[in-house]
Amino acid sequence: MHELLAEFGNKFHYYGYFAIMMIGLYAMIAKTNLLKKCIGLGIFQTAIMLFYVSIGAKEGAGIPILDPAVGTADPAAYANPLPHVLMLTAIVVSVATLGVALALVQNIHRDHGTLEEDEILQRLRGK
Amino acid sequence: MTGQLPILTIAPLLFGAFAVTAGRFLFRRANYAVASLALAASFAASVLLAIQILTHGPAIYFVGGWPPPVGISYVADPLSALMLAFVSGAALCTFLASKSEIETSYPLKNSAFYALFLLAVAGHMGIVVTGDAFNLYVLIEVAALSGYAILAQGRERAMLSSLNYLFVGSLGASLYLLGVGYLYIMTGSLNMADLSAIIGRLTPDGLSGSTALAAAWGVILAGLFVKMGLFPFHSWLPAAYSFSAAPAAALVAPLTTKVMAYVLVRMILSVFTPDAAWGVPAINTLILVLATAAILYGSFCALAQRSLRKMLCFILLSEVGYMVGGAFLGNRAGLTGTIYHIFADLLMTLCLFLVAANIERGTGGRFSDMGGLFRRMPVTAAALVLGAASMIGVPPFCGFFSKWYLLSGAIAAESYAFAGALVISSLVNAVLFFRIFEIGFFGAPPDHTGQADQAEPAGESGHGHPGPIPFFRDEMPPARLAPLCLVAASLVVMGLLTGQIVRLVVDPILPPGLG
Amino acid sequence: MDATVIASAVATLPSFGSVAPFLAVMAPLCAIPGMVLAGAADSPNRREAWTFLAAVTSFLLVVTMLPAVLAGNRVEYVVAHVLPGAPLAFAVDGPGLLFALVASFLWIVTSIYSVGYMRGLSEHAQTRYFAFFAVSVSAALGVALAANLFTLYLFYEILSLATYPLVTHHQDAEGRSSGRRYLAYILGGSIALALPAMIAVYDLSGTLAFTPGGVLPPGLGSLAVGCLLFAFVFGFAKAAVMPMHAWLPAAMVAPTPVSALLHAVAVVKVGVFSVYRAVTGILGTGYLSSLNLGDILVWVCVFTMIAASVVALTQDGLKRRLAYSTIGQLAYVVLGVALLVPRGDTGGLLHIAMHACGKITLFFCAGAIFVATGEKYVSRMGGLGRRMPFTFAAFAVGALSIIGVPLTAGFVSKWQILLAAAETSRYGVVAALCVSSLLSAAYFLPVVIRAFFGQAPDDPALVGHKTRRDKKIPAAGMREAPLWCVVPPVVTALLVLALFWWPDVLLRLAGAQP
Repeated sequence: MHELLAEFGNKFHYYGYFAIMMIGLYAMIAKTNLLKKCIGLGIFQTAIMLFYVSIGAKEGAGIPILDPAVGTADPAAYANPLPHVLMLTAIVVSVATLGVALALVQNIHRDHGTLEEDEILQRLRGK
Repeated sequence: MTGQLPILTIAPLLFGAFAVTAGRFLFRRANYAVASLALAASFAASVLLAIQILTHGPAIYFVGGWPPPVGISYVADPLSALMLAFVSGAALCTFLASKSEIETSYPLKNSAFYALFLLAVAGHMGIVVTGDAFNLYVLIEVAALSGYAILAQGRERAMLSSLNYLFVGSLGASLYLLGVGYLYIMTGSLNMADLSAIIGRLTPDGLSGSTALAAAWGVILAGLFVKMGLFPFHSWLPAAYSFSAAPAAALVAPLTTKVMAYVLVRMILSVFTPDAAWGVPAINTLILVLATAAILYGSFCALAQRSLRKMLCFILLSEVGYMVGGAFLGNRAGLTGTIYHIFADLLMTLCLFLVAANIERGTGGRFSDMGGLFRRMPVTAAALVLGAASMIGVPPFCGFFSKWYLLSGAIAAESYAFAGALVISSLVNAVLFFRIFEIGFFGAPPDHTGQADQAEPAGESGHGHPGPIPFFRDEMPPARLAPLCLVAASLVVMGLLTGQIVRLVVDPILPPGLG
Repeated sequence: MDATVIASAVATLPSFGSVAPFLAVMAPLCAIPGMVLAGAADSPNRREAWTFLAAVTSFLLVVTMLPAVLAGNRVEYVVAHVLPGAPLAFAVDGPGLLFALVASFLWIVTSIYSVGYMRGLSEHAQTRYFAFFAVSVSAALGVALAANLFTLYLFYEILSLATYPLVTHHQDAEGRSSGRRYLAYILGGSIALALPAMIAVYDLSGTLAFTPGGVLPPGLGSLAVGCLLFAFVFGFAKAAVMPMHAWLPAAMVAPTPVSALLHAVAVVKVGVFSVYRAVTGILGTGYLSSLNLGDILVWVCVFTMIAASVVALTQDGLKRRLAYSTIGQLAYVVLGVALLVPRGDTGGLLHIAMHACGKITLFFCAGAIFVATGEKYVSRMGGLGRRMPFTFAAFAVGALSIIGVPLTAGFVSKWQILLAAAETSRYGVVAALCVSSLLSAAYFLPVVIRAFFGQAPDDPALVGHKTRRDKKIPAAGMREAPLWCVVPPVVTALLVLALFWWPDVLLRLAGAQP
């Protein structure tokens, strides 16, 4: 039991991002409201961003750009900034995705007057 | 100048997209010309690049002059160079063939369509040429986002289908990103060549040595399978491609699944190396089962369809099964088959989706509308026959040779279920297409001119005349037929050039020891 | 200029002889644009001129290869290196040339006949008909001259697709269902059986070139080789070995010239020729006989031969009767090959030629009868021989040849097969061959006898049924079909008689020892 807790404690961020990711996935699969699905997608993507950010974090480490001596002297004190930078790009991508999704949602709402997927499908089938 | 060719394949598209967007307020009329020029320039650069690579060997281009592992590199080897040429050529053909279709399908928005079209092509070409695993993710999203936008136009359901595609596609891309994260934890690198070297050092005896790398491979595979619509992650594909307007489907359907299969091959060859990628037997078996199921599912669902484009979408699903299965047979013939089929299927799908676009405009896309097709649209019907023969796998069409390599790979790997699925799918394809030929050959056109979902074309008054239908009654103008004929002819040309393609493009990139 | 310079320049060029097989295959295809343009310009004479030009060119090209092949050389030409060990290539040897000669010569005759038949019945879509005919002949020549199994398969498949519009020419419901059955057997067999078998062979041996003695590596079990053998025999469903025969009677809905050339010469003979190539060039006769696999195939063929003849007895439609007779006769060819001795191969190959000449005569006659009287049924052909003496005389000659009566060509090949069967001490097969000949006599001779000596049906409505021209059933006097329809059967009938006396060239091509 103790080992299990230690294992959990050491890798808690993995379990954390995984839980968040699953919440997002659940929303995308189980919700019928298209807007909620968009939110689920956002949660899913954010979980992965958290994962990246967490792998770049290191206790007691400094940022090489603030103190150039950090990285060269002791690798343990070197916090890799690259994952964070990558996530800046990923955030941009996710914003763009959300933008396209919202544009589509808006158009669907204009056409059908609702955002519930099952109602829309019913209307489409009824025709 | 020649050193800059890798970036010159993509730059015209990006500048073109920008120019078209800016020009929509100023020079609307010139927009089509600008977009075509951009595509043509990109195609020309790709062909030049392919010639250069095939004669002088691979080239690596550092974007912005930053060498890896800091900067992003673009890798032009025989495979990516030929793929660039195919992608840009396919895009150019679609664009030229769809001019009138774009103008009717996207009224008032054709500048936006041109810009998105160019962006989508640029994204796909970037995926092909990039040598950086994270950059690949960004480009996948660039290609996909512009794809969602152009697929959303069309019939009433297109918007919803496209949104679903967006959800699933983003999910797939995110999974890929997650896998890259794991790779980064283990290797500290994102450059593919670098990754490959480090993975080789970390796991000298296969991926099973490292759980994290195996997990990375698994998650990347899951992401790619979602993106390419492998059974059971396929449900978005038929809806997204069949409800959209024809030009968007004719662009996205040939490119996306094939480019994703290309990424799969790249991952196997350039990132994980075949030994590592095939190192977990359980994954191989599972994927072969999925591929077999995809082939059978796609084929049998295609039998149930009543409209041409929907049927093609399901055939596309089974073609994805071909490519994935071949890549996991674990031998040279199978992988050769997959790589060859990426090119062959790109041409076949392009040909058939262009045919579908013409038929939808000329007679209507449902089978019941297609009576007398061979008389009404002889040129389009001829292209349909060529595309169908290739899909069925009649030599000397290119579809035969990919089937040849895949089958011999399956037989060599003693994976008889997969071999059986390939044969069954060929037979089902024969049934599918001959059903259309029968309607077109024996059937009479429906009494009304049969365009239920589209406006009746002005000046057409072909109401129910029983006599022989005049030849070419519903045929498209030559501007739409010329690119189609070119693509259809290329099916034979590529088939006859199989030996050269395998020798010059596939063999150099496969590791020499691969059995 | 110095003579040696010229000689060396000539030597560097690909010699004409080696390109000849490729040109012979391409000649029919090259004529198609001419045909289509002439057809679009509504000028049938110009269109048919193209057909004749292509047919004669093809035939002459095939003939130019004859001296080299008789001298024992092999003419080879590689078109494209598509697969390692299996290029798209042509190679001409005796059997291939024999088949090519038959197909290209009979195309000329059939073209003459087609003109008479199609115009006589004012058929629709004649341009399409002639164009696809040319594609089919080109594909048949390709099969004959193929250097390896891959090339053979390529042309086999092209032939399958190109004959579909010919079989379904009438575009009616019957054509539709027959076309379906035709494709189901032909395409289904080749994709589901022949293609996997071919790839398995390629996987085992790395080559598909026709090699005397076969290409299989030693040490395969009889189950594996047996599977390959039957995958080829049934996969090449054009050979119509039972149970893969049902497409052939169905395909008789096609216009008669199609039935004549394609279903007596090109298509079915492509099937048996493919089986011959697979057995002798790929699997190897030695291999098969060491595993005793010939026996099974022999008995399958014997069954097909007898069963088809018995069914033919019951058929009233003349063309259907001919179709079942064809199934039986094709089994002779496969039987000859399955005996796995050189004389059997010779007999089988000769039978390709001899049966082709005989059966095409019969089909021509059936078509001529249909053009002249609109009659399709044997039971209503009483007395017709007196009105159409030339047609029925040709029919009689063709029938005698199929029966295998001496003084006709059919005897020569049947004799060889009979000798081969006796040589291998298979006396049951000898007996079966005799029974089969008697059965063919039983289903053909009544037609001839009734036509010459029988009574015309009383009801004039029956006979006048469906005629294109006004006919009043003259009790006597000649009423032949148009000249274009009568000359070809007479020509082929004379050929049947001639081949009995001068079979030397064919015998040598088929590999008989002098």
